[in-house]
Amino acid sequence: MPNLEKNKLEDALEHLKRLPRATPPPELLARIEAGLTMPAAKVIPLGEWRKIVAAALVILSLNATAMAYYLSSQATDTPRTEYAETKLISDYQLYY
Amino acid sequence: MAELSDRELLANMATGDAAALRELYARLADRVYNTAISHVQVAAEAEEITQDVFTKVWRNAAGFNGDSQVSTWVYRITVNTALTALKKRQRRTFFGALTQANDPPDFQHPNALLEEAEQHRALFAAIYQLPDRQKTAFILSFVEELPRQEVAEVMSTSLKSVESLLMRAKQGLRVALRTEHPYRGKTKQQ
Repeated sequence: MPNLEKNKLEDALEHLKRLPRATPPPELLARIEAGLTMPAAKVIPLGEWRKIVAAALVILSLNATAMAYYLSSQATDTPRTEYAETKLISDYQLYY
Repeated sequence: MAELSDRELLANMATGDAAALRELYARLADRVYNTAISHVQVAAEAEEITQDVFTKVWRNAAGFNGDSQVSTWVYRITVNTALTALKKRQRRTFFGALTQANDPPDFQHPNALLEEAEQHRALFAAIYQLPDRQKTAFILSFVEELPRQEVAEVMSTSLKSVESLLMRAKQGLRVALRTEHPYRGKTKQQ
């Protein structure tokens, strides 16, 4: 069995030796020459991307902190405001 | 007029000589395309890689330091570009269809004879499954038939390392070819 496997590979390699190289389509050179006149695409290095992502994360976390602070203060403020309003109304009723 | 060497063509390309590019393309395009198509096994992607390679050669001609042959340098660019294309494809297929991430494309070498077509299809499918470095070493050695020393230079490694990669590649191919056609050459049990 191992010999059969070995022969199969050796056989495939023998066929490979007779396989001519694949050739690109004739119009490819024209496409390459046309592409050379275009400016090279600017590649942003990975390090730059990391800095951009880090900056975005800082901004997001600051916003999240501010949002959390705002929401928690809203939660504590609301009853106090309601209390003040009730007091004002009841005071008003006293003088009515 | 005497024929210019590859290095002279490259030097002319560095000065913007498009005729030098055409001449170098005529000499190396088949090698670049064949290496690319053997790696990615999709004709359209191999064309894109060939285009990328000659664009990089044109733009970096002035930076060629001459410590290797021009063809070795071009092979190195080709292999790196092809492996990058394969990585991109693997990322795409990973997000697109998790189960098909490593399946080889249904590739038939354009110059395979009809009677050998099935054998080549099986071999290239097996080559596709090899790890990147084994795949490159095998393609450069057996498809492109480069001398082992040049393969080592293209891959920026030692001759010993190339031989080791080829040995492991052959082991992998034997296993893959066995599983590809389990009933070839014997009667299937009923």
